[in-house]
Amino acid sequence: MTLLDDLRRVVGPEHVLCDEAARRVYARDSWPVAALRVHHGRPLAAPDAVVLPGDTAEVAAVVGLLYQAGVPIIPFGGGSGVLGGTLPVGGGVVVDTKRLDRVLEINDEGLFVTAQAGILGVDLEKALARAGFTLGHFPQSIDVATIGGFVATRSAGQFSTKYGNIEDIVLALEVVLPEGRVVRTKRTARSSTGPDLKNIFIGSEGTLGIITEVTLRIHVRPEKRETESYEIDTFSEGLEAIRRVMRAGYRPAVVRLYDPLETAHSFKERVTQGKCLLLFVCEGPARLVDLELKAVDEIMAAFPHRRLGPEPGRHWLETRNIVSGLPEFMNQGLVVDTLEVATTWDRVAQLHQAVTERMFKVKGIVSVSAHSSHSYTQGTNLYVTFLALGPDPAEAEDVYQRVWDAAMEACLEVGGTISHHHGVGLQRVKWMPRELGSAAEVLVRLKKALDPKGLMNPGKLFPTDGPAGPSGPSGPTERAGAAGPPGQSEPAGPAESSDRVPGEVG
Amino acid sequence: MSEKAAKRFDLATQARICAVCPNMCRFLCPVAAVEKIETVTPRGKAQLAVAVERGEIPLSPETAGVFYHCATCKVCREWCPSGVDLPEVTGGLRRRAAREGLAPVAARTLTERLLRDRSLYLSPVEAGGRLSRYRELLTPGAKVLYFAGCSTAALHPEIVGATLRLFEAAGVKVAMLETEQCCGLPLDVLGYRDEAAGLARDLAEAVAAGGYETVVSGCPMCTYVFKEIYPVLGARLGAEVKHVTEFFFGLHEDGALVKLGRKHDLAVTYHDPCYLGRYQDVFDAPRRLLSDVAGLRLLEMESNRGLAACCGGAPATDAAVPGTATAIGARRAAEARRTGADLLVTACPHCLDMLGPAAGSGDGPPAGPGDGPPVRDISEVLAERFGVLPRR
Repeated sequence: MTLLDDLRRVVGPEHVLCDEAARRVYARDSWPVAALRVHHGRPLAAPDAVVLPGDTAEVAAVVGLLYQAGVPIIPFGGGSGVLGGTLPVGGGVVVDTKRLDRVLEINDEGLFVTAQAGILGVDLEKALARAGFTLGHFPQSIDVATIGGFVATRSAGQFSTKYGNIEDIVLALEVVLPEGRVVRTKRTARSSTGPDLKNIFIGSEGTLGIITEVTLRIHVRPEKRETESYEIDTFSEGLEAIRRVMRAGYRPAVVRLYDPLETAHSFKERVTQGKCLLLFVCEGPARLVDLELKAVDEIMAAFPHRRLGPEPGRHWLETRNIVSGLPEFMNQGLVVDTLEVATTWDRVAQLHQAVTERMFKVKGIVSVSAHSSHSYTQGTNLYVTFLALGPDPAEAEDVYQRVWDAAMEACLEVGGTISHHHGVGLQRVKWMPRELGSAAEVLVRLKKALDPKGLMNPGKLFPTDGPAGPSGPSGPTERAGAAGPPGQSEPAGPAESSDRVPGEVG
Repeated sequence: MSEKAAKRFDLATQARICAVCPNMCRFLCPVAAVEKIETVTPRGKAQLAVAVERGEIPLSPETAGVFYHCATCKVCREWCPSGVDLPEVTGGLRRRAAREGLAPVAARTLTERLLRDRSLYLSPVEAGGRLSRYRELLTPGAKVLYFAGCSTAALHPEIVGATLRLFEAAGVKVAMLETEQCCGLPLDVLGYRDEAAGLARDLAEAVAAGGYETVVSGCPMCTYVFKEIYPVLGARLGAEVKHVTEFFFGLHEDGALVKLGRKHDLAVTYHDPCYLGRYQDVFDAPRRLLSDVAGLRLLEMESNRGLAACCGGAPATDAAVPGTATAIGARRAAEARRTGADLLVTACPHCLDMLGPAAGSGDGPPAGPGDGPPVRDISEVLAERFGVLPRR
């Protein structure tokens, strides 16, 4: 009886995939480096197999079997991550959670929803909408990401300024730990019973366990939604306007400020060239929305501006999840990506200047632009988009990494956080020791305690020494022998190249 | 489709674009939603298509099978800001698979049967026998040809009767072919283009011999293949082609089909057949026939028109992965149920079969999931409203 036979017995033979097509497709997510590899026909490390459990008990059984056998376990949701967080860098078995896609309870009185972790965000939101509720969590990936993925990557939604980010929305979690045990945290509005244990798993990126069930706060669907936009002279004046809105205690659902380049790209013909667009969406009880819009307008009076009315906001609402740039640019020999950093208000201008200037200096850069899209009383994020020349395969990945290096170094130098909401994955691992500083030890100890063999999503989140490092445990071919008959789970073709996997670049 | 989609790339470029996209349309793909694996998402299929075309992986029976996990519904194309037509990309691979003998057994079996019987279901002679009771409604030498299509003729002869009575009520004289046969679309979708061309040329010859001005069919797959694929296959009908909803709505606009007014409180929801809506851009005619002309209360489903969910009835999925097709139909039927409509109306015999128990003679394909309201064909609903058929 091989490990593959055992897995088939647990989930059913049709839910264990070892075919070349599956192994190739599960070798990547939406990380541009993986996309570049696909585009240029360059190798990516493939998983030995993909398993699709149907419920928590099956996840637990699968994880237990794999852990005992010493096989790396790579949790997989929608594969929409943009940092390589689901890449099986050292082979292993991908555990796809998408069969866990049921809404288990929508509780009207307690205003919460419990759902299995593999449901797509859009499907959960539709189910809530039918019952008169909203999650209020609208990341751009809502159509392609699972809610388990939202939690695992510590995601932020476009309406986060009002509804909070995923860590503010999660009430309780069910998690399968590396050795296959199931733990559940208590559903409560709040608790004072020691550290909040669910937070250990929010942002853990599959390195500490597999999230199988999520309980989330929900909201009654807003009575009213209005948008208002302003043309403003400079990015720094826009940032100051947002700071004042937040400081005064208002919470528009969406606050977005675009620099002149992004304004010209997304709101051409609506805004004077060289100026910035500042966009607000307010929603909730009608009286509150009216009040908030009026207050925003009063705050804006302190800045030279032109009021643009609701149209730019409506345009944004309609087009906000349309992404065509990356694939089309890649086909033109260009590399495009986004990265998101954040800091407190006292350093925002400095962060913006440092990051964008440093990126502009990279040889091959074509453009760098930025917007602020998630604001808080204490600070905001900067979402930076870059375009660089990458006509041939090696050059494309090289310029990509050099641009990232520039941005991350500049960010760390001025004290910003290197990620606001995309997470770490493989791409940001090398900067994590500096990002976490003295607190890094807590994460390292936690990882060692929960995953002593270092088998959970190896190579992600933090560059630990030993088995959890990017080089992973034993090679895939060695494991394949233990997993099943030759040829059945053995990586084949380009995926088995000795080329370094993207996670090891740089 | 967005304005940007008007910008066209060649198919190879489309595949490359799709393969590196963040897969933003995956939530719309009915096959991905049902099968829940990455391999069959639009990006997954595009990635494999590119790898096969480049020779990175061989086109094996296993790999070829993936390209049959496509409902050919084109909802991904409708959504795609780059205008990528993935069903065209996978269609190219299905053709290659068919040529190289790598198509799934189910596709090969269906093809052999179609070539032998020249029909998806009953033989043309048997189907013609079933329709003989409607012969008195036909006018030899008429300029309008009504083409029932093999699914309607074999499984839903009552739709033929309803449609012919509607023609009669509108004062339109119609003829039918003595013997109908498959239009060839299933073969083309399954990858057997040369075989489809043979059927198409035979049928086109029979139609052209009648000297018709207009060919009308209630099967969107037939009207689509007549309009768009026959020219590619070198088959000439020599007549204008219209779906029944286009034809009757045109009559209404010309004043030949009298509006009944809003006199009926029956609430209906309309399912857009992929091959009528997204393939032929016919969205308004059926809706206006139901609401403006027949006076029915029309309730829209959550997804409708360009982004309407598929029923799973297209040949590639239905033949090669029938379990997936049935599950896709169940999802759509559930969507119809949520509208609270009394009746689910569609304009395609294949959708009819996928969305509810077969309304025909009962010896057709397995009944649909039955998870939604009762499902009827638009011709029957209109015929009842016009009083040319007794209400069921």
